[in-house]
Amino acid sequence: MNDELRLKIEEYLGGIMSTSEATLFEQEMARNSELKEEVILQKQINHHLRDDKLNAEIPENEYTRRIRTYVKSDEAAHIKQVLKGVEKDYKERVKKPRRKNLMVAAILIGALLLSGIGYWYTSQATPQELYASYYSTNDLPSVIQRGDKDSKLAKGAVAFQENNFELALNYFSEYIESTSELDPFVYIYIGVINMEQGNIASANMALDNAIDSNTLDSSRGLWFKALTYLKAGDTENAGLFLKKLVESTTNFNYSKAKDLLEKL
Amino acid sequence: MESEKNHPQIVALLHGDKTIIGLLYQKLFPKVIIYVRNNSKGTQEDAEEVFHNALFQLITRAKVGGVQINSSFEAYVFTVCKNLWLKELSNRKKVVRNDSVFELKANEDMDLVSIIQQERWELFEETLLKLTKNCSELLKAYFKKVPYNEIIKKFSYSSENTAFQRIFKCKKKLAELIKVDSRYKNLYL
Repeated sequence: MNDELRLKIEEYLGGIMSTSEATLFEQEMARNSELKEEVILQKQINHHLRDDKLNAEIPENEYTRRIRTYVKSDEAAHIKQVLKGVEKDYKERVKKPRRKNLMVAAILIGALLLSGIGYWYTSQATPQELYASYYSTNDLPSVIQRGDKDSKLAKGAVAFQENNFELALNYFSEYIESTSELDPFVYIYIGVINMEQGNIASANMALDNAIDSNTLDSSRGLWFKALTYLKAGDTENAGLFLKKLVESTTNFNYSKAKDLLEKL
Repeated sequence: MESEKNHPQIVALLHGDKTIIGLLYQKLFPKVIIYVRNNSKGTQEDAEEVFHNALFQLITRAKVGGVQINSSFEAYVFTVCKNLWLKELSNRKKVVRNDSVFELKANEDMDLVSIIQQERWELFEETLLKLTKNCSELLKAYFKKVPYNEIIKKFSYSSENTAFQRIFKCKKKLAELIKVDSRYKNLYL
């Protein structure tokens, strides 16, 4: 495109063409797609440099179609619900400022500040090596003690110990279907199996159920979520869960979490 | 498809990780409330909507094409929130529309419009940095309607025509750089 035509675009966008000139120019644009694209771009540049937030001319192409499809999907609706749920929880916590909450907030801020400093340190061990040295099946809850040896729960735990993860998952899934109670123990096992198999999304979903149970084992769920992210090489998110764990000395694996956090 | 380019915290958002999202609320939301309240007296509800929409926008972009973050994740989310709030303020200044059908369509496309505008904004800001400092400052001054005589003085040009020629060349360079960027096709054509 030559400069003469570019100057015409400036005149057109600047509104300094006469009505007849503008009509002719628009007719030319209708014929010449390259000219039309250039006009759109120049118009956008003007809008951006004028800090105009209102310009909303959206192209119809594969990318915008994919966005539209996703926004209307069930998955997007689910994500919106999750976001609203977290927002609601956050608002409720903020509305009830107790001394304990203030302490937690102070520790959290401290931990977040430390995270910034943490970026400056490098660990000798890779995230996967750290995962291997910190993951222990001894940290799993003892399911067998809680029921009869022939129960689905016990059979699942035995299958897990024998590394037969598929069979273990079947028993645990059947157990969940047979009871209406939320059992954090089972979700931790399901989470760990998925973690071992590298299914991060499934591991997270199961472990979130354990964390949401508000039982003593909630913090055990945090520990395994940290390990899940570590296994995936995601030290940043692993660190966030470890920081949650070190908020209280009564949390599961408090000392190990502190130790691991220092190494990240 | 989920992009491998995505930042770890966006991956956690994509997985609907409630703990990570909760931590983001704790860390970032108070800053967004302060910003919204201090800019045109927005309310807590405005800030909630902005933050929610910003997180949803990031998730959608990560899901559809991937999000590349060159700054810190927190700084990035905050910028998205700022842009969403400024856009909302501009919308509010518009004449109130009575046509409910129009409103419905506007709501349906709101996420798409916000995403494309944010991505264009990022493309412009990144491209402006590729221009010489003189060029980007000149363009900003011109479009902020700084009078020609001041531009001539500040940038030491001999005449209004020289200043205009320079502005023209800088804008042409900016357009050329945008057109060769891989994002151009998705955002404009």
